[in-house]
Amino acid sequence: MFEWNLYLMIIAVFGGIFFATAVAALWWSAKHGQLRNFEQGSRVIFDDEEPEGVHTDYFPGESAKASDKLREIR
Amino acid sequence: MSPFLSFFNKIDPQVETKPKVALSEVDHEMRLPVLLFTISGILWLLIGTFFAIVASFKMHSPELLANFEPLTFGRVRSAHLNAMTYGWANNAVFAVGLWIMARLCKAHIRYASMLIIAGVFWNIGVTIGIIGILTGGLTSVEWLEMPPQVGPLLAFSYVLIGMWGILMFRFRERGHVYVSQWYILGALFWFPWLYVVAITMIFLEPARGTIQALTNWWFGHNVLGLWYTPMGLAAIYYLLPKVLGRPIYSYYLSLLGFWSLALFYNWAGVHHLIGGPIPVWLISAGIVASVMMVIPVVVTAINHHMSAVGNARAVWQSPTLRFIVFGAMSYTLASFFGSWMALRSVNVVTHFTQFTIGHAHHGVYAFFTMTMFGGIYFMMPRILEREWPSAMLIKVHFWCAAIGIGMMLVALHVGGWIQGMDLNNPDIPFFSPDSSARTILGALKPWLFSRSISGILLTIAHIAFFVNFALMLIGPRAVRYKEGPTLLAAERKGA
Repeated sequence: MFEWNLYLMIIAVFGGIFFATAVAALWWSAKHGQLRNFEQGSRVIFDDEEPEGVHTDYFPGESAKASDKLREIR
Repeated sequence: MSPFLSFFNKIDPQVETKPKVALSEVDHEMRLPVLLFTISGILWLLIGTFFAIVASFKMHSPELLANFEPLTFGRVRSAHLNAMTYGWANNAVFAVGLWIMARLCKAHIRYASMLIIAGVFWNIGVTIGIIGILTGGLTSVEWLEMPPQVGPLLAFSYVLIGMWGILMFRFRERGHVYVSQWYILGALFWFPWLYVVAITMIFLEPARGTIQALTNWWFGHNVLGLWYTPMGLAAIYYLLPKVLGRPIYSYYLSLLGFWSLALFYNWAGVHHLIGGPIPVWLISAGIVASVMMVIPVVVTAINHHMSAVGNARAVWQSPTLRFIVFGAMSYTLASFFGSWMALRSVNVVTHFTQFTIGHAHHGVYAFFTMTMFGGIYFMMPRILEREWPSAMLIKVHFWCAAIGIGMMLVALHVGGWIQGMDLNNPDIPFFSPDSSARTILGALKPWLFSRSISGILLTIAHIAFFVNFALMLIGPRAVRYKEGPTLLAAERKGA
């Protein structure tokens, strides 16, 4: 039983460090402005090559037809 | 601030400078490692599918290949799990996850050779592991059946990949860390942690008794929750807004989803041992954590739904989004099922039945694998600067995969529930020589048979995917669409 508890303590410590790293990362992100200005943050995936407002994926050979249909809907 | 944390804080996220590196340059520089991982992943997918079909047929026709030792059920089932997990899923994660990471960092790719070396060693390790399983050298630890000797090889490859991810992040040209980067960074950090602790406490310095089982399920469940789930969600959060051309519905909710996953998920795996000989408080803590997972799931579901709603046609016209949205919906459903199954009153029925197998496929296939298919459909034209050769094969892939996995989930969930109810009823025998008697096996057999039919559909889907991919790599037809839709040239001309 003692050994069982010892191992339980070891995994509790591992688990604790695991949790602590998540808290540290959250603290880092809050401290360094990662949790501010979400509007700007959500747009970092777009750029000149793949700009906002443009669909970037169609079935091969069907783009012209498909984008016409999408324009009609809009 | 500690020097360790300042290591990652190169650029002020509030001052958004224009990165000097174009996405197409990142794609070009990632070509070799991404190709290595994708080709290996797809080959493993086919091998894993073969093992799956054999294992599935053996469940209702046990005489099939019964005298061929390497393909006896115990081995072929484990070979299927490991080929799919460490072969297909991990290679797909390395390809799609690292590519998304590179694109979001918007910096020149450094040390790509690290990824090549890691990829080669990883696949050698998995090959040795699968051969080890088929020749009878497997362990009895679920999710870690490969002979423990391959552990160091896999760990070494993984360390290289993890280090590459951290270095890529360190040298990023963008200050803001997008939610997908958080998920990928988290996963890159969590997986080695899980793997090393599990290998150490189960094989190298084995803990005694039920602690081994506890470590096993802490690892097994977290591989899904802290490795595949964050990588799948990272892909969805990147590709859904990217393809639709509009930002995610609520960026705030996406971050809330990430942080609640990071803080709560780690405990949930204990629910696999409900009813087992471990302290009740540990199981209760696992159940609480499992139910707490409803928070990130609801948050993510609202976000995905609100981002895609009103864009049904756009979703339908994009091969990527067909798969991604299917994956996102499956994530929501599978997660709710998971929380529900962790309740003691439900678990008493579903434990040790096909219901659990169905749930595992719900998560790993309907959510994760479908999402990775979507990611590969978006990624490959950009990596190869070629178009997919056949729209028809993509549709065959989608429909066979969607119907196949749908059928499998119904079969295993319904069949598993009936099996669980029967197992709890002492009046129903497992088997009876009287063929008209009501038995557990008799009631389960039609459901197992329909699972095999669904497996055939999935096989057709995977072959269609493989053929399309192979033609894209080597076929001249793929170049015909060089100015094609997914490369945006046609869209720009039309606009």
